[in-house]
Amino acid sequence: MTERSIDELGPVDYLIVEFPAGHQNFTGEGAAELVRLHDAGIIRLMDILILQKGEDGTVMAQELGDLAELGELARIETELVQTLAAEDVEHLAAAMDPGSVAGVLVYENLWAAPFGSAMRRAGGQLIANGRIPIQAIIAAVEADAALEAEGI
Amino acid sequence: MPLGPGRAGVGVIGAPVAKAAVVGAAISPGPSPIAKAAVVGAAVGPGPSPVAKAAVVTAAVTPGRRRF
Repeated sequence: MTERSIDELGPVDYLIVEFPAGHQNFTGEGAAELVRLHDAGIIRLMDILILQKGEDGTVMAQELGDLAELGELARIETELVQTLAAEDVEHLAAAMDPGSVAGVLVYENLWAAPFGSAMRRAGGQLIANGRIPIQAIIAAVEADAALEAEGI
Repeated sequence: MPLGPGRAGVGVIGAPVAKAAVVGAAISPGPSPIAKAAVVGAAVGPGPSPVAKAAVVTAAVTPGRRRF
């Protein structure tokens, strides 16, 4: 990767995708989409961990390289910078239910870097950000419609 | 399984992570947060995605709609 200044770096996000016990249907589709986003330069994958939480609450963490079948992720594995430390595992697993498996992703939002740089050059500073699940927006629209139907 | 030596050092997460449904309920917008919290919590909970009516999805993606 070419050298980049801190002003050229995009914001870094993490997400945890939990697969509850009995709802695990791994086909490789998700991995392929992840590689596509990385290859398209939309994100830069920085770290991936697989967590398993036992029924007794114990947590097992695996690197991509620990998996038997990596598929398209094999190429990405060598590019990961391993952002997460071992002490992050318990913090991340706190959100998981016993018996579940989760994929943890850390990624740089390459798409946002030029815009962020432009905002800083204009004197702006990020004071808050967040994510609204589309399900939450739909639920809010539905709730509004229900209130309207009740004449509230 | 212990992670390798590359995982030593200071973590970046900082605190135990809360499940997204809890966060979603806490930031639920609108005049009736208690009622909506249950709706939003159900919507972002595990399991099959709730099937939204087409009109609702349209409302969620249509430009020019301000909710206040």
